Amino acid sequence: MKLLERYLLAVDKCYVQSLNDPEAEPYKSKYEARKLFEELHAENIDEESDEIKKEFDTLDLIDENNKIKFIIKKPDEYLYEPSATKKHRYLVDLLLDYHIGTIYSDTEEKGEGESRLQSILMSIEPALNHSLICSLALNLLNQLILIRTSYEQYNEAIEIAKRADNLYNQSLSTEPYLLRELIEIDSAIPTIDRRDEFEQIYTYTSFFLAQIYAKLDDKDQSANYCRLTLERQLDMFHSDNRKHFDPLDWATNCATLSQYYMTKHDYATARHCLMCADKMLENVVSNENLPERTASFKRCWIKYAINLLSDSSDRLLQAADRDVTPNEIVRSLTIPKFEFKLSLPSAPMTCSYVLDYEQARQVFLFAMEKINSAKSYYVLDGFVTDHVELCQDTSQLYSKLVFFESNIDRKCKMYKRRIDLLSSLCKEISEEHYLYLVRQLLFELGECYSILLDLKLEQKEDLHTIKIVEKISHLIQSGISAFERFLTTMNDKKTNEKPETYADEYIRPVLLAHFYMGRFHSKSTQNRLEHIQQSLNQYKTIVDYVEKHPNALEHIEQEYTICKEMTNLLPLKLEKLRQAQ
Amino acid sequence: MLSNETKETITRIRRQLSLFGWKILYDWTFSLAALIAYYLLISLLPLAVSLFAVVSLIFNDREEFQKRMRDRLTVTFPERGFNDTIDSLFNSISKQAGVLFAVGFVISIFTGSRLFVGIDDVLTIIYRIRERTILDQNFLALKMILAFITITPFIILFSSVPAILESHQGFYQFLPRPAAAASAKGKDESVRVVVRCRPMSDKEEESSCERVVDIDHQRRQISIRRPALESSQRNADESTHAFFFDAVYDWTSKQKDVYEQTARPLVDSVLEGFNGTIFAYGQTGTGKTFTMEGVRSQVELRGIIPSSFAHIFDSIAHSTSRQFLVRASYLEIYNESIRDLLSKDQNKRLQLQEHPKEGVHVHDLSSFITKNIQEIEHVMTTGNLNRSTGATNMNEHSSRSHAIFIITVESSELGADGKSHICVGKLNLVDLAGSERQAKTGSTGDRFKEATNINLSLSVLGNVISALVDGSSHVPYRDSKLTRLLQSKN
Repeated sequence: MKLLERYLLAVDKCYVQSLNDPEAEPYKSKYEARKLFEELHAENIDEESDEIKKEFDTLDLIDENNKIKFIIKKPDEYLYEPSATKKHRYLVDLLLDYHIGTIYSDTEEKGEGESRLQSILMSIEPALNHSLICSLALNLLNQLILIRTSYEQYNEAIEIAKRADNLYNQSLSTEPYLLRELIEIDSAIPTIDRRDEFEQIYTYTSFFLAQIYAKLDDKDQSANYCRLTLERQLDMFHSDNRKHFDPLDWATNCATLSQYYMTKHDYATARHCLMCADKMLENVVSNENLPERTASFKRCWIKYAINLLSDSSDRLLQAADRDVTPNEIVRSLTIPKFEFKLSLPSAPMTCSYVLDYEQARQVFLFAMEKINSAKSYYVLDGFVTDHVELCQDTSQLYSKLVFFESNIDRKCKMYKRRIDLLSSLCKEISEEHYLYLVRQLLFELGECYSILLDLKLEQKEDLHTIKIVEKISHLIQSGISAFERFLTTMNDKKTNEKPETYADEYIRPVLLAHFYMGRFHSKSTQNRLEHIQQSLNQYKTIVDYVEKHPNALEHIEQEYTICKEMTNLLPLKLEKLRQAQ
Repeated sequence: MLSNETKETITRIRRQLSLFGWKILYDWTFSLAALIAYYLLISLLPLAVSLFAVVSLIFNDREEFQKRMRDRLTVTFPERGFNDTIDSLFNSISKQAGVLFAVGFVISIFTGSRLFVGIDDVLTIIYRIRERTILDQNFLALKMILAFITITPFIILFSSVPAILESHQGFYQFLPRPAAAASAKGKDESVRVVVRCRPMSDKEEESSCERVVDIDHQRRQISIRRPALESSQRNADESTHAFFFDAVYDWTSKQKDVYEQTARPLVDSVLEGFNGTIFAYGQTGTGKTFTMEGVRSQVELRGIIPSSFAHIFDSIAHSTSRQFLVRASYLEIYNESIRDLLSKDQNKRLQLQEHPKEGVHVHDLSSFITKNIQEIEHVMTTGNLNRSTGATNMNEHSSRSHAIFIITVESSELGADGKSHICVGKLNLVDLAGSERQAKTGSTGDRFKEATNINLSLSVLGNVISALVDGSSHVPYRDSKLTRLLQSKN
């Protein structure tokens, strides 16, 4: 058998067959492959083609400090080592050593692997960007990055990645040969394929860097390298080399990346990513995941809208606080940080902060449309969690829109909508299976009642018509029962009693629920005495809990001082009311 | 009424007894007791010495035992410098245990026979039984001592039973233990994590690998130390890491113990209508399959799965007040798609659905009613067969597929109100085969393990990106099917 054939067999064993190794001997094929590669050192190289001889004309072998090294020959220099055969032999040996070193590092012998790989790197260092060597060099650097990260030496790994980066930039004009062509150049391979293979290796470098920066918790850099990886994958897609490219995956990753930039308030970039994701879906041939992903991307748009509205209102409030013109503080980037090479339609919605009700309404309507079409996929029966989240998003959208609305009647209507939506959901889903969701819904429902009550009180100065009084007491009752139900979900399942201590993440909601209930009671116009007593009880519950669990104070500092005052004031009020009777 | 005859007999016996009593009191009591006590002391000392020698002979080459002894001694006497005393003690004992035993044995036979001769003398004096020649007497004493030697180990064994039980139930509870794991409410925790360490393999023994794991049952702690470069270096304080679990099992632990202490309470609660999940997690060759499956043909090597089958059907057989229905389903999750291992059509993919009232469930999953152990084992075997046939044509399949065997136990009981009450419990037995390879190959939705290695496969780029995202946002992945399925109704 020829050397090349045996080499390819070993490569197959090392990278393909090894995936099927039995559990008890996970490295069986790797060890066998290592043996094969070692044997190949003794194998003679078959007759050399003129092509490879020609390539070796520009490559020279020198002996420096007892270390044999490749260097690139300058045109006017003479060759130290004129024999192409010797150079070829040495290069093939390095290639075999590269595989052996990689196997060492793959089989938990990282130290051995690294020292072997380092020694190869020394031998080729002065000639890294030679067309025969650069593929080997880039692969080698990738391996060294992997080894360094496995030792958690991320900064050193980044240093190596920088060298890979340099190498890549220097090799932009060269035609890198494939690794196996170091044994025998295959003239049947088109240049573009060689280039693609090389590009793919560099894609891995950027992918590794994305992960390393993630480990270092440098999210910006990590996102940047994720973007670069996606960009490089897209290049592959454009160059018609689609065997490594999955449009659905790419679109999903792109949509996910948009959510990163969205949380960083970079709406232009987020919007660009989302548009690219949508665009890429056109290239997906029918796939069982397609409907789900399409609906999922709509949810990304919905979050985009919610965040944009909420950010806008925050910024407007800040502007009002600091007494500056809104334009100063809401100035936003309209140009994305980067652009993927895709021809996009015009943007479906704005990426600038909204300043008035009309703009906000546009965003709202756009998001509502996305919600409705996403709901047609995420139906309640079958996708409870997703459906409920979409409804929560709807409720959030209303609450953000209210900020820009000044008409109090319409504000009330929007809250009425939220309440209808949330309360109907609470009836639909089982508390046993979706406890977490039911809690969220009940709490939000209670809050809605509370705000609506405030609005109603503000709206009607004259509270004495019977109809209004009834309406208000109905609101109070509903609000209280929502929070009461919320609190009962916290009870111990077996004994149905209130727990002594709440988990940290529930301390604030639970105490707030008591706080809201206290407020509801104090707003009541009927049976004042009884309600004030109830109200006092609620505030007392909070004060008692905080006294028993001092660590709860940090969760509810502001409200606690109010409660404390109330527990002092309300008894006086009660006394007054009693006397008045 | 008593007859005169009986009265007379009683009086006679009483008189004899009182005479005997007086005699003892006046003449012999103290001198004889002192004599016997003297012989006893003389004979016990060499006996103790030889026993001690035997113990050290037996455990001489068991380093693990010695280590534990040493540790306990150090814990009990924490003074500085005491270590050295113990060390020298251990050394001299291990060298001279044989000689010590021989000497002790001979002396104890001699002194023992003296004891019996002494007792015989005393009895002769008291009862004035027939005289024996000196030779006879010594011969008898020798026979007695041989009988004594045979019986003693049994006596010691039985008398130590309560002590052993005591030590298992927290004799060492007073030792300090980090608060997080010290909570005695282990049973009430919804998640229990136990660790089991397998013995060293022959291969490891051959290449004289060093054991770096120490297990402390009482404190439910395992500590891992760096392999010592020099064996003499014993100040291992900064190079050990201690981990606490709800329970720890070492290489000598029995399948039965693991089942009784960890799985049994869970299976019991399933029979009462709760849901439970058991899975084993660990690297290749750490004995996951042994713990979960074991050797079915040998009762004492049976793993958790066959034991839980036996347990369920045993409890059902012993229950008179309740009616039971046991159903079994078997599914496999590979690449986030679900396959029913019991269905005829193995190419069909199932959907995970959420019903507003019934929670997360797998749509169209087939289930079989099983009435005894054989039937449920048959269901499992059928599924395993389907699993392996599906695996051969896919790369990396086995290393990335999870299998869940679901046992649903429905029971109905006639309540006080005359209506029958039904409760349903589910036991999920999960096979996370080859989970460790995910670090190398990567799979979508896998956030199980925070590996230090970075992922080689571009297919997990999505994971890298989604890890960047937090706050109010949407990540367009479904959660891993495995976690969603197991989270249903806990």
